[in-house]
Amino acid sequence: MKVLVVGAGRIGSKVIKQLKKSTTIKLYTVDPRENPQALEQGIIEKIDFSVDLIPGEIIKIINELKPDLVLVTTSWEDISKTGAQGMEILVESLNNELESASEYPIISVSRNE
Amino acid sequence: MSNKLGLPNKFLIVILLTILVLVLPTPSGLSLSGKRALAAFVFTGTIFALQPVPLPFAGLMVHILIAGLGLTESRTAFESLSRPIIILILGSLFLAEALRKYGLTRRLALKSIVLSGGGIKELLFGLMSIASLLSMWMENTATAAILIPVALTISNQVEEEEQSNKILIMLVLGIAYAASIGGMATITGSASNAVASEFLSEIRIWTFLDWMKYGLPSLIVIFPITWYFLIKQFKFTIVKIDIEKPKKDLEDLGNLQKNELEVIIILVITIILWISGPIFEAKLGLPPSFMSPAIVGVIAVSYLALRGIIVWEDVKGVSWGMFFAIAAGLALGDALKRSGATEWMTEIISPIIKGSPYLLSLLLLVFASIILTNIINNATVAAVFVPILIQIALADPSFKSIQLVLPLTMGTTFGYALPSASGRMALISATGIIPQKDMFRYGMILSLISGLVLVSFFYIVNFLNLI
Repeated sequence: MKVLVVGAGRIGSKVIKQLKKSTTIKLYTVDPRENPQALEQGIIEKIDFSVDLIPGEIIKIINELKPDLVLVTTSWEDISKTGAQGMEILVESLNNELESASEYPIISVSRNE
Repeated sequence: MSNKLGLPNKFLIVILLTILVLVLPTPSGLSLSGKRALAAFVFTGTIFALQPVPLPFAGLMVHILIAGLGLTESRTAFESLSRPIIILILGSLFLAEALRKYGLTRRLALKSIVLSGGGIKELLFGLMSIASLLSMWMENTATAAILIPVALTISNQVEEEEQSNKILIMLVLGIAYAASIGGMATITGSASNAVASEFLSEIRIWTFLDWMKYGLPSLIVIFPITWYFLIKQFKFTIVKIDIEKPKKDLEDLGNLQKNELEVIIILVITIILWISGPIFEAKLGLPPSFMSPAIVGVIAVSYLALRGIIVWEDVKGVSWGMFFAIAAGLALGDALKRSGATEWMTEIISPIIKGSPYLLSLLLLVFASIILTNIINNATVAAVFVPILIQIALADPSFKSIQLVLPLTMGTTFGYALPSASGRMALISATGIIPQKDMFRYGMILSLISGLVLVSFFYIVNFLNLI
């Protein structure tokens, strides 16, 4: 099973850690940062796709990879260090756009999970 | 970035600047408590500008400092949080969340895209209209945050990368500017409007409709100029964008569901009552001020909660920053007034305003407001300067308070040049969609044009004795 995890930050690293428990899951990650949390903590060795976490870029990867499942773990910390006002709403709206644009199953993982 | 004390460096800058004001010699004519109030102003301005902590915490710290400097008693330190205007803002923030929960903003945006037929000018006009319309009633930054991803989706339909980027920048700027302009029209539209209205209501009857009488025409004048400015700044080789995707998205959303319809109906009724509540109050024999905007807002939210259309989980993530910034602004304004600092500043500013023709005063007020709002929070600008302008008008019968207060407050709309100017600009800057220098360039030119248009508008309104 091919699973693409969007975002390898605070939530992404937790998700990746859980997914790695299964040997049948072939895991791919997307994150624009050089050293996101999942990499920093040694949960993964490399980021497979380094693109901005915006729908158009991610859709290109999804269409190329054809995953069985996409897990979107993006939170505002993954996009901006400053945490500008409205950032959470922006991230939620970006994820909504991604869900509607994708022809493959996408699940957004809440920041509380 | 933190230091050895474990505190953010930005916070130390805030504290150092505040202490600097406190230790400087007290200017002649200013009392000691007046100087402390000025220090509170510096603290408020810098903590909102630098944001060493999120805006809601920064807002709360302002109350603590004002109490700590002896400018208020601890019993009344947080009094401004319970003002009707604050409850009105809370109600509007909760209603906006209901709109967001059911995806109504996105639905409206998709509808406008489909209606545009894909023409770039029409598309920009449609998205800007939605941004403005919604920003009149809900928080401007939240509106922009919902619409920016829609702009991303549209621009992705263009294959040529350079054209796609240009379209994205134009749409995103259009959304941010329009969200700001929409906020001019109502008391709930922006934090500075709310602060100014609260101070105006202390000296005269000042209703929701009173603000709209000047705010809405200003919006109607400035909106098309902003749209035209963007159209002229960006040239494209393509004329139309493929809108099949938005069309499909809209179809996928299906017809309006019962709950969505109910949210729209409640919002429309709320807006009608905000505008004409006193008329219904008199006709229905209700207790005086029962139909005040704050109570109407809370009734609307309560209704939605009772019907299960919104739950606490939906509203707890509202933009608390705006709520706390307004309360902090009001607390600061009160502290400046009580301490005599407002009076002291009035004596400095008054000769400039009184000694100049109205046109020159307007230019000074609007452009000072534009410059200040790019650096400090717009609620702070209103909190400091609105009481001063009210005092000038009260002391000179040739002035009406709104002749001075409204141009200054509406001038805070045009914080377009820097990320620190508004939540919208900070958001765009954080996404990296537009290079900082381009944001500055477009922002400066448009601020200048919009400022001149606003000055002309108020000059004509004054000339026609309509204010």
